[in-house]
Amino acid sequence: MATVIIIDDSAAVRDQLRDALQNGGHTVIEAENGNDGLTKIVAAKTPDLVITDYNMPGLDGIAMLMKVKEQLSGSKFPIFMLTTETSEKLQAVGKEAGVIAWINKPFDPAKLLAAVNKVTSK
Amino acid sequence: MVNDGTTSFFQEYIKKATCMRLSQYCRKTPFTIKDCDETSNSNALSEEMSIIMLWSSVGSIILKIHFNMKMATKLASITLGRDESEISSKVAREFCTEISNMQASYMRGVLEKHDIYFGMSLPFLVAGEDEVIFRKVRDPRASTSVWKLCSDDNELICTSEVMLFESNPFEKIRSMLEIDIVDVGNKATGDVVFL
Repeated sequence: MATVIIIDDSAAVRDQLRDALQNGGHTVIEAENGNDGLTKIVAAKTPDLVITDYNMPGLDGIAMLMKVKEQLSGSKFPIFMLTTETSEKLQAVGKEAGVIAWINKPFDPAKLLAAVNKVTSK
Repeated sequence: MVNDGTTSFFQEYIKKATCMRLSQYCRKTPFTIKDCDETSNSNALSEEMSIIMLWSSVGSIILKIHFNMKMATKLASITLGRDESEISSKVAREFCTEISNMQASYMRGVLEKHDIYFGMSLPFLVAGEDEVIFRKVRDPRASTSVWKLCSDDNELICTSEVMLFESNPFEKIRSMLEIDIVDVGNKATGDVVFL
């Protein structure tokens, strides 16, 4: 089973994510904004998966990922963006920053868990 | 000078786009747009609100979701798939800021697609009526609209304040905006899209 870092400023979304992932047997590390997420990703070095929101106080999701790239150059891990943002241009920027999957809120726990299992079992 | 037709069209577009995204967000709950009488809805208007702002050189938009805890709890319970008794006031409030995020990020995204770029604030919560922060007397170019999104057993009161400085960029994309709503409305939310 995988260790997944979830980053969202909404406690409600984090609760939902934690429930879904723990029900699937995964270990969850929570961060409540971009700065907190950066600290936790850097500490984990190579988490099995990061699921992050985009719109957050302080560092937004993509700015956080750019900082992660600076601080952990060479380290590779999958990243999902879970957001209300629908912009295709933003998705392209996210892809550049290492995002491999884009999920528009609200998420479907079963679909999310299937994707998490697929990506972390590789 | 911006013509009134452009601003009115944009106001209607905000209502339709919010209605479509809220229905999606609340797990396909059908919502309809209704006019709002500020007098008869003064209780709801005066409780709490979530505010978000968009701005650019061609205009500014302030979007407000007015809510009371009962409304917010009910909607959060549908979307989060939890019993109302499990929804804390913090979660209910956060749910309303998520609606603001969703509303504004949709508007920003769709305009960006047509090369109109807006900056976006984070949503913030305010208790009480908006006149506490935003005075009633405003720039005469501003158009304010108060409306409701209603489902079978719930409603959400919204305010949109639009101030456009140029008509041309919006006039050019009018027909395309309507198509965008239909396209996005047909998409399922929650799908994991691999990039």
